[in-house]
Amino acid sequence: MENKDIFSEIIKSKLENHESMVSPDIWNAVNSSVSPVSSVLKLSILKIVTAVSIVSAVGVTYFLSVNSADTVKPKSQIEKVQGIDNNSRIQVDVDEVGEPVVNSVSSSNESQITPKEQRTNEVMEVLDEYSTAIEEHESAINVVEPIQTTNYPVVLSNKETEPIQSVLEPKDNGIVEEVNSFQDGPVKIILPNVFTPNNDGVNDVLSLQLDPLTDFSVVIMDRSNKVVFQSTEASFSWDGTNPDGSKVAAGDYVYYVVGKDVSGKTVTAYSALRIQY
Amino acid sequence: MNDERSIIEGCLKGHQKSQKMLFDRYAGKMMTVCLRYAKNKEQAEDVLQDGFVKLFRSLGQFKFEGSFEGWMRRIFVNTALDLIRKEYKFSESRSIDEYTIQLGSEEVTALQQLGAADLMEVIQRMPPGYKLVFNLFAIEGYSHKEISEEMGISENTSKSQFSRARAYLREELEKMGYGK
Repeated sequence: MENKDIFSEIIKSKLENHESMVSPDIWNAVNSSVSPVSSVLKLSILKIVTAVSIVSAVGVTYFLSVNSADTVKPKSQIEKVQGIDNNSRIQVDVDEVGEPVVNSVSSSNESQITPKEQRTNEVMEVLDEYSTAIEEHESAINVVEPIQTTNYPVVLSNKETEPIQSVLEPKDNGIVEEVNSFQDGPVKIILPNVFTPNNDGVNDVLSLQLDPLTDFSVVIMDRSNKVVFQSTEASFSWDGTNPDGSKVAAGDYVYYVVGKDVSGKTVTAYSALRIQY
Repeated sequence: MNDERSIIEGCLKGHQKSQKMLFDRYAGKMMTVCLRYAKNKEQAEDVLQDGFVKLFRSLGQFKFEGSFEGWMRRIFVNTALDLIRKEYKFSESRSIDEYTIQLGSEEVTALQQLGAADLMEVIQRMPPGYKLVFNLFAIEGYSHKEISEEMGISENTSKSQFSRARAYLREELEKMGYGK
């Protein structure tokens, strides 16, 4: 073993501080993957995600209920909720309340639910990312990962305004996509969540009808977070092809839109996107 | 290093400047790691890119205990291993060529004279199985047991691949005129 140690030591010492040429393209690629746009985007892959963006109203209160069907024991994680409203800070209280409610996500969803352990990791990972994303976006994001159907009232308030209440219901895919309970809310972006680029003349391209936005950007990624399409044109239309021109595979994608509305506020939205042929 | 800590903290806040600083500081070294494992430059660049994306995403898990460079190096090694696991199938070897090479003094001299660039070149040319085990065992300091668990091969395979890698290295060094 003595010999091996000398051998390894020499080899190791030769290479430990050796630096190789790095192509400048790599930083660009890394940068576009880790920019807050894509890290927030990754949130939406979660089965249950609620995101509240742009707290522009003076005071906001909303009531949030997230339902999820699963078979394992009740468990919940609520982490880090924060609202930023220009100069004033909004307090957020998160409590777990009550027994699981009865309604549940449709059974077709069960196959998509990942094993418990994996999901826990996923949440932790996302939350780590989230903690960096939040400052960039001045948004309040609340990730709730109940293993069993559970009610969570989430209250944002400040002293000066009437609270608003709203109950969010997850759709069939288990993703809560929209939160619109703002008093003088920002531009609302409605994102389609399915399209069929099969050249049958119906719903063959993805495009958005939007109020005027500046600094617009859209990114569409597949399940492995590979970017399949991006654009900075609000009038973009995507025909379901990869950058190399080939058709993307059918399946689930996610996409994320960010821009500034007329008052200069940053507006963000994201959605799952199912592509079918 | 305090300086390093503030860069990392900047990255955690999502500051692009800090991310660029961290990248610039370590990209060259990590590229060396990637080149050692990858089958070509393009693959090494893919690993480098994926590794940095992973690094920035998991930076919050670094507890400022121990060496940051060591911590990040493992991310790149693991990223490379993930790729190799998908791509490369070891042919299991149970043969008895697991011999111990005595490291002669002339070999030590040859190794000591060896330039890093030449060594990199030889490693990159190694057959994939040799290369992997050589990297993990000699440079990353894995034991054969760990390699066998990590890559799903037997310890014997790991050992014999390593001794073949060493023999290969010695031959290549001789060809290059080292140790003469």
